[in-house]
Amino acid sequence: MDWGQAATIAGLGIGMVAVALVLLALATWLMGALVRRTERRR
Amino acid sequence: MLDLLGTGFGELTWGNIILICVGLTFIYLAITKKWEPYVLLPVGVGAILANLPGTGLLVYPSDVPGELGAAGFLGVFIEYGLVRYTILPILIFIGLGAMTDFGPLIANPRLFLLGAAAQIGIVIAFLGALLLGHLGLADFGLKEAASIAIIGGADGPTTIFLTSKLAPELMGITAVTAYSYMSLVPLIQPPIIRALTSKKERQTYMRPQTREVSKREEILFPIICLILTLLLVPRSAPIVGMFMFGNLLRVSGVVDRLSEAAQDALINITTIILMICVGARMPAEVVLRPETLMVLGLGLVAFTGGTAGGVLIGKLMRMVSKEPFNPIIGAAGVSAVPMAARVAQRVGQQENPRNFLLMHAMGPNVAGVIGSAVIAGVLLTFLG
Repeated sequence: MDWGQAATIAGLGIGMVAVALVLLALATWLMGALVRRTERRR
Repeated sequence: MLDLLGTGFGELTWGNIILICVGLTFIYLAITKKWEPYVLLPVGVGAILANLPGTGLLVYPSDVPGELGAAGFLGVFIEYGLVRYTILPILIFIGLGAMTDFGPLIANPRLFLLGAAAQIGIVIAFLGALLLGHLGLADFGLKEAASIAIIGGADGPTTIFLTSKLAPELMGITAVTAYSYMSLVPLIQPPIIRALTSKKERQTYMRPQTREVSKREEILFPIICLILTLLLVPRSAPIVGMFMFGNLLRVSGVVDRLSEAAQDALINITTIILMICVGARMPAEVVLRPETLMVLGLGLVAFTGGTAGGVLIGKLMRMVSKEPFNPIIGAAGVSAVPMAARVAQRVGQQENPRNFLLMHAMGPNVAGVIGSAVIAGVLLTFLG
């Protein structure tokens, strides 16, 4: 058993999920803000 | 004599008989207890079919190359629909996307964090499975450990998708374990929530969803989600791509017939074929091993770890939030849509009858689906 590889996969797994969902949260917030701003101007 | 007549009695083993009884139990639970009937009924029939000897239903096309008509129909579905091309779980995701409302998540994007936190159960179960393999208690390598751990994503189609790619021999047992624990969420989660939170925290009243989500936001969300996620984790494309495509069918408002077909006919037909195939992946020689008990145990560890991760990050968010925040909704980050959100609602209302947490909990619930798809993509990148 290569524990180094296992630890890398586990760490990258949870790390990538965190990065992906934080980015999605930021992108969703930004999108919401822009859309509401555009709609308010109309 | 019975063999000469071409009957299956002569070849029937005790293992087959036990698995046929398991199949009958699934059918009983589905019909009389209404316990995940859409899953357990076809899985039960599949398990019975797989354990009746001499039917030829599970002869795979690759076992009889060039012999037209020699393969069994279940063998064809399993080989082409699951093991070789994994078409069936991918089709399910189009239907799931078309049934999903991302509104609560779009209105409150910070709930994404709870969906990420609840994936920690997958990592814990992954390392746990490897430890069992390392100690010589089970024959689990990296691929098997990943296939077992994804049970913690509490997402049946993702479990089936990843296991078909990494360890197809485990598919029957991991899928049944995932769906069983998903239906047991109302029993598994409340004690964990109560153990990790104070009464005051559970009683916290959260204001109803603060704002309406516009049509434009609903349409932009799946597109942004699809592009960003696939740029980060390209191997999650089959799941995330089809999930977001299905959602776009729903929210676009211009392809109502396609949206209805995805939510109804497509998901129903695919479920029939997929679940009977899952049951058929439960032959006695695969299931009746000590490893099956370990898969069940690790699945529970994954669910428990995921629930705890979501609740603990919920507590952290409560500390930094300006608005009242109830950490119970973190438990919904394990996916199990919409069961986990309903559990959060029920526990919250038991503590404070004014509480209405369902829509708040739907945010982490659907974020958890995206989270488990991302982690499945990462596991495929390294092990696929």
